[in-house]
Amino acid sequence: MKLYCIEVLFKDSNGKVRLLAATHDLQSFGYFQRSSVKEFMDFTSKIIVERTAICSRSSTKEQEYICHVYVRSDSLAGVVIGDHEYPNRVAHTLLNKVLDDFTSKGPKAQWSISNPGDIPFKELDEYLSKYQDPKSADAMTKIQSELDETKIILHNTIEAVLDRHEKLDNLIEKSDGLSMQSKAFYKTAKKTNSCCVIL
Amino acid sequence: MNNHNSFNHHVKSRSEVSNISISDDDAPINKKLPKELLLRIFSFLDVVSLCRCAKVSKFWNLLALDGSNWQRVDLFEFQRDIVGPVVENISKRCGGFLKSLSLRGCQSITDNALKIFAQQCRNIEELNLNNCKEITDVTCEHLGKHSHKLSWLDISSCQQITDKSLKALSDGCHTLQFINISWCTRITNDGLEAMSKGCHNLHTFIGKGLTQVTDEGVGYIAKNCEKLKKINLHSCTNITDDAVQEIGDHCHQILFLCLSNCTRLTDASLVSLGQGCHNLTTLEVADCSHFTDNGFQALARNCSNLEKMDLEECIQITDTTLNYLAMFCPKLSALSLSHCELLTDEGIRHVGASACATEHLKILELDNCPLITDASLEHLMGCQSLERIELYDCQLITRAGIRRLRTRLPNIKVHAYFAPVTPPPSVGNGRQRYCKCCTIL
Amino acid sequence: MSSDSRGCRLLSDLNSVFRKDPEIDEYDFLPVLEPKHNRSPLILQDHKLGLEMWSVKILHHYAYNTLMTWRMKEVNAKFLGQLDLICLTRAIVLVNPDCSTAWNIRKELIESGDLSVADDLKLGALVLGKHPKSPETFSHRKWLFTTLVDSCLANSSGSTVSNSSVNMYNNFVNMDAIDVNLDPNVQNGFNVEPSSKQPDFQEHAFKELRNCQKASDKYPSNYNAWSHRIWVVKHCLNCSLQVLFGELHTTENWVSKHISDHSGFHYRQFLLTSLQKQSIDLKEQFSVCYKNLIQKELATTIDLIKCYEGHEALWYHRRYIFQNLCQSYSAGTLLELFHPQHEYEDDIVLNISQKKTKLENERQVLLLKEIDTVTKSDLTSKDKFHKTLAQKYIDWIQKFSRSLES
Repeated sequence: MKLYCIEVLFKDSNGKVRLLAATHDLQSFGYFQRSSVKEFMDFTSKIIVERTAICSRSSTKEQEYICHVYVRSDSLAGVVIGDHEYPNRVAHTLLNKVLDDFTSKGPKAQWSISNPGDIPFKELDEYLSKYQDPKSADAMTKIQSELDETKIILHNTIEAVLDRHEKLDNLIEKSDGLSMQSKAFYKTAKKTNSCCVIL
Repeated sequence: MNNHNSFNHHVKSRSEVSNISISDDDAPINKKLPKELLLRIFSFLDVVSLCRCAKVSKFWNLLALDGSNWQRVDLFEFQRDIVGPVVENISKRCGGFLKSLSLRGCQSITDNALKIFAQQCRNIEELNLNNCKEITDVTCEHLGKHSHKLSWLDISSCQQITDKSLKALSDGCHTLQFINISWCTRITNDGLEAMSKGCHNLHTFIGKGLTQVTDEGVGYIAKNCEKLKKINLHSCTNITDDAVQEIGDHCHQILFLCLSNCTRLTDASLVSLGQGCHNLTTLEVADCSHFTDNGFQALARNCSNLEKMDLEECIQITDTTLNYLAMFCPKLSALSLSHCELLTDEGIRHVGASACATEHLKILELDNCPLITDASLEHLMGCQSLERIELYDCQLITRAGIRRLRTRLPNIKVHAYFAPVTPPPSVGNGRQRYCKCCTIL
Repeated sequence: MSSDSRGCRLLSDLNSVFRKDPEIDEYDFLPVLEPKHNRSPLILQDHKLGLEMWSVKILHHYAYNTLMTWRMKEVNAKFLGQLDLICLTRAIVLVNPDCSTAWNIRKELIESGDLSVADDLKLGALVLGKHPKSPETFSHRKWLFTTLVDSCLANSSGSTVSNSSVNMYNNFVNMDAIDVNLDPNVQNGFNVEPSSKQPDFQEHAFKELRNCQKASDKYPSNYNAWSHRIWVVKHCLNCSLQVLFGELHTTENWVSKHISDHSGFHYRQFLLTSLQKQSIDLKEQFSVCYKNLIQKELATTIDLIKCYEGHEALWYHRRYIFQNLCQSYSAGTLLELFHPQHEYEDDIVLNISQKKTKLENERQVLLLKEIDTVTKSDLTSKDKFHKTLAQKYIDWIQKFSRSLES
């Protein structure tokens, strides 16, 4: 069980999303893949937050990864990406904490104009390493009472989050946040025959 | 492959009672053809076929294994399986008939087998013992004692060989013309001195990687073996300009010289060669990183017969060297300039415009010359004989540049990282290469 | 035979990269499908090697064809020296590690002394980084270790490789970390013979355990890696108690982080079974009761099930542990049977039947308690899948208890 990244984002009234703080742990990925993996995690966070309504939670599965999203009533959004073993409720409790903590770091007015790093939030790294082990991170029993798990919307793929006329391939092709290399990675990964990991 | 085993088998079965029926020997072919004619036919067969014939009948066995059919034996193909007794049996059977034997790579052959060989086959002329790792000076002592007709000997990579071997050869093998002692790292100047005194007829000396040999040793060879045409001192890392000076002073007939990876050499070496070795056609000096334009100027002015030059990683040379080569060496047909990082299009322009360019230049290696651009390819468009050009890692070369060159010289092989223009047809033999689902590989 | 002329160059590029940096510890194929520049497609950064994808196919094709024409002694085969073979086979296994011909040629090179076992172990470890499941790579490594063991045996004039290797283990595992009372004096049976080769072998064997762990990190439920690890423990480390303890300790944390990895739990089951087989030594040497170990394992498993709902692997592990615990009750009887404290046969028979009833009662209590715990804590879960798993477990217990009775 593994946590790969935590991000804090802001979703403005037009539905546009801006990244405010992020941290990643990509050690388990190959050296040459890390930059692309990071770009894809940021990209995924963004499109899922864009498509998640205010005051709601979702957990979206994509292969062996799950992307947990919470958009608060004040438009502040948090994203946690972990693997399929990571318990949903711990991920969402972590989101609560992260967003609460972030709120105390700077005035709300700044959210809509800030860039990553403008509002210092170095505790994010600590959260990421501490929550790698959900058992020691928090008393798990306490969590159960705080969170109503039934309110988390579950999706089985990223495609399921998208609107009917949208296609993931197109979104990736159009994205500015993804480098040429990452797009190539996506294409080759898609092409890959599952029995043959070589090419 | 167990043809060689039939030697063993044969030797045994001859002394025991053979169970081959005599009627085989009464076959029509044996009646129609006289023994001499059959022998004559057998003399055209290779080792494998002879062994097969030897299994046909008692009579054929006798004929096939007759020494006269075994004048030239190459056991390289069976190197893994050849053991001492096989060589001993061949030696006994062939005796004085055997003129040429190759045991290249037969790693389990020992001195004992070669002792018997030397005693039995005294007319041996060519002997290849490359990579017979077990043999020692004892083998060469026996060769020196018995093999007086030996003219061609390869004992490269036999690491147990020392100066003693060369002394023994010098005592007995005065007709030696070709010797290869590459990678016999125990050999020193003393060995070369002894050999040079006994073997005056040497025309080829190959001594790659003789790290203990210094100028003195090369000096003996140069002084005493003036008939030398070919010298290879690749990776003799301890020799200096003095050694090359001796070659220049004494070996005026030399045609081929390799000094690659003799890293201590400087321009003085090239000057010496220019003064003494006017007939030089091939010069290999890869990795001689001290060589500069000055040295090549001196060389080129005097050695106008140069045809092949390997200057890989002579990192100091510039377009000036190419200018001299273009001016003075009109017969150049192969030129390697890999990793000569200072070269530019200007230098290639000289080559392209030179006398050698249109008629002779066949191979040009420019890989890892980072300053070379498509302009160089334009300069080479007149080289009608150009067969192959190496351009790997010339990062300024473009696909379009290569395409233009190919339209002018349609038969040229251009080696670059770009895909070849016509994709080679996949090899159509039926071997299963990969899991069926992977059509990619 | 026509083929892409670039293959030869790519191979020499690969060789020069390995010459430049012998410490390459990772490689990967980069998603570049066409050469964009006239530049080598091999990239070396921080001991990591990247190969652009277009070149992989060409390189493999060239290396494979060259090697095979040589191997089959075809007429046009190129002469290949030992160094060529080492380089060609390396290129092949980096791309396709399940080419057994390539590995077999490397075996021959090792036997002829042209390649060292240590170098080949290093290549295999590199390959496993990219292909963590490759069965041929694991089987080649088994061969390498067998060769190492043989050469150690030959060097130590016979007997005690496995014993002394056990002694060496203390250097590698912090025994304090293991909850065991370990008295070094107890290991009186071991006499270490000084041999330069043995520490080497130790290091390789323990490195191998770490390699297996890396491979199982890379690929979930990596059966090949875990069964190789079992093989190493059995054949290279002789299933010594210290090794089993060390492994039990190091994998505890791992399985608690990989709760759906069946193979990881299976490995622990192997460790426990092996400990069980030596439970008498266990008690004598470490004053550890096997039953306590298995009880601790059950408690840990139950705890994991509570924290992480809906993972089948945990429930299967629980089945194994629980069954094992029940059996340990009957195994206990057998042990006591052989204690010659009883003088009269009648007494023995009486005693045995008394003991049997007592144990059967204890076991019955255990079964009931287990069913009760599951019913109370797991059957009430909101997670549907978790509930199904719990129900299946109860069904199994009931079936199991019936089989005990009959």
